[in-house]
Amino acid sequence: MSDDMQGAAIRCAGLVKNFESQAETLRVLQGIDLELPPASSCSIMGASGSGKSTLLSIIGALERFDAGEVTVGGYKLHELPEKGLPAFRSGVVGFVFQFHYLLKDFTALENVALPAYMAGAPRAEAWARAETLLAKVGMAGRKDHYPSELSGGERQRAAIARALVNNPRVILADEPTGNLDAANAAAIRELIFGLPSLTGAAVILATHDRGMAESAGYQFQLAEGRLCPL
Amino acid sequence: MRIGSPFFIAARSLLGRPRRGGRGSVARPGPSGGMAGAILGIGISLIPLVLVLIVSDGMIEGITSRYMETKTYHVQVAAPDFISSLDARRGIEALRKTKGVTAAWLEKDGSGVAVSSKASNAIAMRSIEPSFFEDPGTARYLRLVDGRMIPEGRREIVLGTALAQALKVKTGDMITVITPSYVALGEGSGSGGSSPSGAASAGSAYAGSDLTAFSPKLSFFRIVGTVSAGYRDLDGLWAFISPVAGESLLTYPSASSFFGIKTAEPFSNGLGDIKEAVSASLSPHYPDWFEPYLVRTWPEIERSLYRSFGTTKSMLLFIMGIALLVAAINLGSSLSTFVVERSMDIAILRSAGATDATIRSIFAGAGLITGGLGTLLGVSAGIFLAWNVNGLIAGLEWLINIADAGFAFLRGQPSVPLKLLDPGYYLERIPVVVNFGQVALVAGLSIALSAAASLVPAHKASRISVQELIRKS
Repeated sequence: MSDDMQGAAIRCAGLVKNFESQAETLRVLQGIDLELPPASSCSIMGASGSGKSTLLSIIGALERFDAGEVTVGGYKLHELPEKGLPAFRSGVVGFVFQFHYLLKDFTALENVALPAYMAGAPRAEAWARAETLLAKVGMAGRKDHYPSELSGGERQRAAIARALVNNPRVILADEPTGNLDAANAAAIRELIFGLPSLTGAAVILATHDRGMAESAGYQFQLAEGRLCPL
Repeated sequence: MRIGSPFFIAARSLLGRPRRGGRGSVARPGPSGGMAGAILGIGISLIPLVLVLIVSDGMIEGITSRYMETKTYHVQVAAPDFISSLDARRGIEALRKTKGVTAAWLEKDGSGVAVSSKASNAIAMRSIEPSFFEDPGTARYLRLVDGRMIPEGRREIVLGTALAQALKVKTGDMITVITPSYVALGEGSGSGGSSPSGAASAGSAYAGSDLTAFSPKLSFFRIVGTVSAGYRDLDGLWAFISPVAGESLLTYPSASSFFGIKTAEPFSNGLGDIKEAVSASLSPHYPDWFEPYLVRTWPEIERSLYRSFGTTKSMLLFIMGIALLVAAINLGSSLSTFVVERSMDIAILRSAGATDATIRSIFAGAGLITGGLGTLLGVSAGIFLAWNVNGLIAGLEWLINIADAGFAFLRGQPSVPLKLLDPGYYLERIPVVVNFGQVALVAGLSIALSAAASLVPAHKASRISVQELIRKS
């Protein structure tokens, strides 16, 4: 970890990502520069295939990049070896996807607790943290239900709680309301943009929804591999 | 990473949600189809393995015990044929005082042909003191079927049940026994059929004798009883006669004499010590002929028989082991499917920080749980079936015979009762001996195979690309 813990939560400089295929090279990100302070929120809008999800995957260390520098929560991803990635994903970032991806055989409480339990927290502590978070996202009464017993909004709330369980410095939300009706989408939007003040984490949100994008502190458009302010 | 977390995830993913009551509950107890099949496969493949292990152990121990207690004794000392009951008495006294020895007798054995009014058959005649039949070990395995067990005088004989059946005789009938007899025509000749005397040892007792003429000797016996050890190989040949009858009938060269010795712990490793003690006890009494090599323990006497049992058991277990191997491969295949089914879960766990080792542990854990449950199922069912094998065989026989009788009735033909365990070839009742050490070894092997079979799917699971899956979804 670098020593700029007190600096930006996310800093991308000259980030380049290409996808190679037999026919062509797809230049998805062509020199992204982005700096986001802690406890802030940022939205990235863009057409489908513009590279929003790829950018979030790179920031979350799910994907490697071809050039540039990316520093997240003090971790220089361009220098981070492969074996250091799981610890980074576990402790620095939290993902919220368009689909909730809750494990179907685990209760909401267990789903939220698992990342902490896998990271080495004692079982009782992981479960206690999960319970607290579920209460914060308004799911206290639904903690023992399985995903199939929850509504779409509840599943996404549980997914947000799961993203928070290891107290990450950055929350990466990729179209988190894409599968929700208007009422649930509004509730989730409120919850997500409340996270910086609630947890101190920086939130990056990829969305098609202009209304949602405008709720963020910083707003960007991703087009032709470049990031521009909205 | 805590060991508990992969195991918890593996167990829940594999076995489903815990059963929970209440409205709206959609509990899915039990493993998914493929993994249930894998558990069942391991269990089913283990059942015959455990069954064979237990039943073969029981059969081997049952047959071995019968041989030891009724035929070979625990230790034998070959003796010269000229030894008389009187001469043997001091040896028997000495043996009975030997540490570890519980009983000893002089036995004379000889072979011949028994002829009844309806049939003839080879017989192995045994002349033993009456106290042999009262020995607890003998009494445990030698059962009186009819008449008396102990023959008296020169004209009484007790037959094995299978021999009586072969001769088509019953208690009270007369039989003729033909034994070989030699007339010594040369130097030192005596009356026909008697043994020469003055030999130096059991092995060379008659070296230099001048035997020139063979003459069959006919002896007449009344059957006073039939006995059974429950094993055809024994019951089909032997005939017991009294020591008095043996003295006159069982003579060189168609007969042999030996001391039969029983010990307190025939299966212990201390049998070698007893062998030495026996040598030490007998050598002062019979300096002319006794040599330590004449003393043999029961495994030495029937070495080929016991080796054949052991080989048969090993081959059966090997074949059953192949079935277990196939089940383990099936488990590997099911786990591979399981990995594909759960690939999205794996991606999510990886995005939440699960390491390659965690993912591998989850699927190796799933393999272990599957193997463990299959093993538990197979071993439990195997032991249960083994414990009830005699009843199950009887029940199966009953069912088959009922069906056969029905078909026979419809065809208007007489039915022929089927005997699954023909006492002509097997023990009449299978003794069940559960060697828990061996069963635990088989269980351990099964779980180890399951763990090994899960390694490849577990490795595949750890190679799943998170971003690829999330992008596709």
